[in-house]
Amino acid sequence: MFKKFAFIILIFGMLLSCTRDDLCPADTATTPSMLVVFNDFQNSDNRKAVEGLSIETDDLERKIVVARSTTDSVVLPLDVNGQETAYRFIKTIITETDTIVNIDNILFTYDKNDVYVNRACGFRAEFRNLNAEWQSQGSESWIKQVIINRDSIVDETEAHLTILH
Amino acid sequence: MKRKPILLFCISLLFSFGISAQNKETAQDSLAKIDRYGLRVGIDLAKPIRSFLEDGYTGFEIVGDFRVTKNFYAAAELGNESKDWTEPYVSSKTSGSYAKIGFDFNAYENWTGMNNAINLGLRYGFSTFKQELLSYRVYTSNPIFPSEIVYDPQTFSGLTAHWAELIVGVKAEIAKNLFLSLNAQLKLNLSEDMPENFGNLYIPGFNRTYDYSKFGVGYGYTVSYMIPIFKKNRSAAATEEE
Repeated sequence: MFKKFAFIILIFGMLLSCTRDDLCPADTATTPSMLVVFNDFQNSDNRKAVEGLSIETDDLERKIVVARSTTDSVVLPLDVNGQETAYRFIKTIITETDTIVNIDNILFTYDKNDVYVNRACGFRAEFRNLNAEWQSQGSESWIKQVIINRDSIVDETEAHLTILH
Repeated sequence: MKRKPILLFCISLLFSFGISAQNKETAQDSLAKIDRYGLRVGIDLAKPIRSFLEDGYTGFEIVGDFRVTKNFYAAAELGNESKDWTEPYVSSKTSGSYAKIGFDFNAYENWTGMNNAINLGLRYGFSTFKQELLSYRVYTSNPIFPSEIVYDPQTFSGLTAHWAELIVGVKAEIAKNLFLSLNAQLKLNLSEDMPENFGNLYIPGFNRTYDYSKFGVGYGYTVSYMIPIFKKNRSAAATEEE
């Protein structure tokens, strides 16, 4: 009888050790980011790369989200703790004689919903009624126009925002 | 998902073990055997012990079975559980009651006068419970805006769940009519009410749930007492069966 008990206890131990910690798999659709593309102001259907573009948060910390590079699209996270996120879009042109820094500020506002995913990932945020507040400073601004393509940010399949320059 | 095949392997091992134990001892003696029939009632000791040792858990379960034929027992369990569950991104509390009904098959051929068992059982389980979402954090993979913990408690009551359960266990008669039993349970979730915009991290009687699996596991350590009702002569029953 003892052997049989020992056997059952062994099996029971195996059952327990079969359970493991749940981790949120990387391919799960969690909180989406905002996809931004840069198009030509003269011909708004054409993609046009921005030279020397860097993007940082418009707050005291000034965290760098996009390091300086030449690119025609960026992925920007939105703050899941509030209803707005402010960014500084910085275009830096370095010539042999001079460094010209041109900064445009855009404030994004939105409604946020927290949607349950599963036990490992918890909740994801979904953003709706996206609005971009940007003040043109005429020829001072390198950005010419800001267009919202999709005002709901629930996936990352297509661009949500187009910036003409 | 390695867990499922491993579990199935464990269960099939137990099955073969039970069957071989049954084949080994074919009764050849001509002594009259008396089988005792009665109602066995008891409690699951594991749950009060766990309630005492583990923070955020309280549970109680009464068990009962009634011998119907030589090897089959009608069985039922009734219980109540409350469990706090904390994941990295979610914290919840579940409480409720459950009932399980089904039968046990005794695969162990006892010697004269002995009354032990190796049980294979099936159950239908039903639970009504309340799920509370205590706090959560939004999952975000970007380090720019780390999410803060949201304390917005919500209660979802009147939820139900149904499951099927396979039980394997051993039972030993440690004193006349007094039994100790150890069992392991494999559960298959048949249906559950989902709280709106939340999930069931724990279901009383079913135990914890898994994201990508309908299976659950459990165990019990019960002490029970058999109230004898009548006795039956084995030789008459045995010739009937053979």
